[in-house]
Amino acid sequence: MDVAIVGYGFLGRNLLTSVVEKWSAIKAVDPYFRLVGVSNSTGYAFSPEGLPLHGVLDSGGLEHYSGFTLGGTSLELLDKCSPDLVVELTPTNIVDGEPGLTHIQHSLRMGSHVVTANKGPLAHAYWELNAEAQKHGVMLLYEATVAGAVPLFSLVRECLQADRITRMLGILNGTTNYILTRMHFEEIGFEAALKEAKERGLTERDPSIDIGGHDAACKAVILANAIMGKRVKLRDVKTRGIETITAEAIRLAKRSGYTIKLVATVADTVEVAPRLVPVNHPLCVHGTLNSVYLESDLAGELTLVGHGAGKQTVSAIMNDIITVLKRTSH
Amino acid sequence: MRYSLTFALPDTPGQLLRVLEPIAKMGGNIVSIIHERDRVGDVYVPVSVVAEFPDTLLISVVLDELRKMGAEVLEVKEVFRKSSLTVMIIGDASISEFFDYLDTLSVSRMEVSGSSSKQRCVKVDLEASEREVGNLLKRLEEMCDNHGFTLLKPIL
Repeated sequence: MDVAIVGYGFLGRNLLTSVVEKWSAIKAVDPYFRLVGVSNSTGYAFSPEGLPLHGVLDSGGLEHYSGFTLGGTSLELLDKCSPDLVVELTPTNIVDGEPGLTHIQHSLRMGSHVVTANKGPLAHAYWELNAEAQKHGVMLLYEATVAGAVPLFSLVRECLQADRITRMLGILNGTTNYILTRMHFEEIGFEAALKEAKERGLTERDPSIDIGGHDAACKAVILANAIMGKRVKLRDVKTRGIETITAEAIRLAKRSGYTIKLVATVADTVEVAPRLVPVNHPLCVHGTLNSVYLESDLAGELTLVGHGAGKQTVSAIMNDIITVLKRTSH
Repeated sequence: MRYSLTFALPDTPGQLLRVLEPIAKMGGNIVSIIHERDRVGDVYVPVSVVAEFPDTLLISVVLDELRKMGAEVLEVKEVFRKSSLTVMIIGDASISEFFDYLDTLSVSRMEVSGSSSKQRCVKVDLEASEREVGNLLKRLEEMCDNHGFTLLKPIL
């Protein structure tokens, strides 16, 4: 299978490292696996015979790779290499999902399977993209878009096939969870906790995307559509952030056995808001961890906990890639 | 659905068993029986039975049956299970304003944080029947939206 990676930032580099580490396992599933193209915002590297993985990794930045085409676009790369699988890892744009949305649409229309970690396109056009994938008989997998490394969509798809999911609650944003955790345990104010989160590189360039609840809202939309079959758009989500949470509020909650968490709720309606969570509730995780609490008609309650961002997210991307390889190898 | 039925039963053996039969026949699950046989010599004894029925319609069948057998039913009322609910409100308001806003709600306890910042924080314990919880939260949400407060609901 010919594979192209669109978006070679933090996740792209970590993915490539994992591909090298897991090379024999990948080859055992698909002996013809090769990486034919990699692009970033400034250009791309392409080889129809397959790029040397170590060569790309060791180049010290894609721009420094000897075969790099400066100024080339990701769409040009896709047209040039017609990959069987496109891994779309460009940064999320929650305003309109671009450029990821165009990359995914273009890939699906040219008959390529798509694996993505980019929640923007799915939050904006979940049903449209799925219809496109169906029309062209290809797969669109997006495990890494919600709760990073937590295998949520795969679990529901593979292990809860007869279940009807009736409600979901999720702590889906690691940055706000870090801030609220620091406020809970260290009894510091919101501004001090936010400053710490910024210093640790945990916030988006525009921190309001995290603290305003917009990142979690995107994820809630994907969950609502993908797992509960709803037709929900971002504008349908009642979204409130954590900016107004004070140290006193946290202290008051704590005295009664609660903590305050930014919780996405997917039920009859979809909402993101700071909520009182009992400290002994399975959803209550701390630091940058994410958690998702599912209620279903057969399995009852299930809780999944894991890393919502960072290099662990590569696990979800790799699993989606191997799923495509396995399903197309017959 | 849970109902409380109060009977005036003749003070003779077997009367309680007699009125329990139609309840049991309709799938009523007895929750409690209060049998106040204090004063010897009274002709009638007040008895309250709380029972849970799988369907609300079954209570009317039970009442018909009791009427036919001549049992005197003094009172029938639905028993609502109470839920207690904790919410928090953060907003720029005085304590008395918060009291006013929450006046019409069934507040069982209220705790106000010290105000080191302009934003005051109030923890409110509320009591409501299970079926009223949704409405109560809706009213609170409207109140908070109108005044620009942050409402922290519990995850239920």
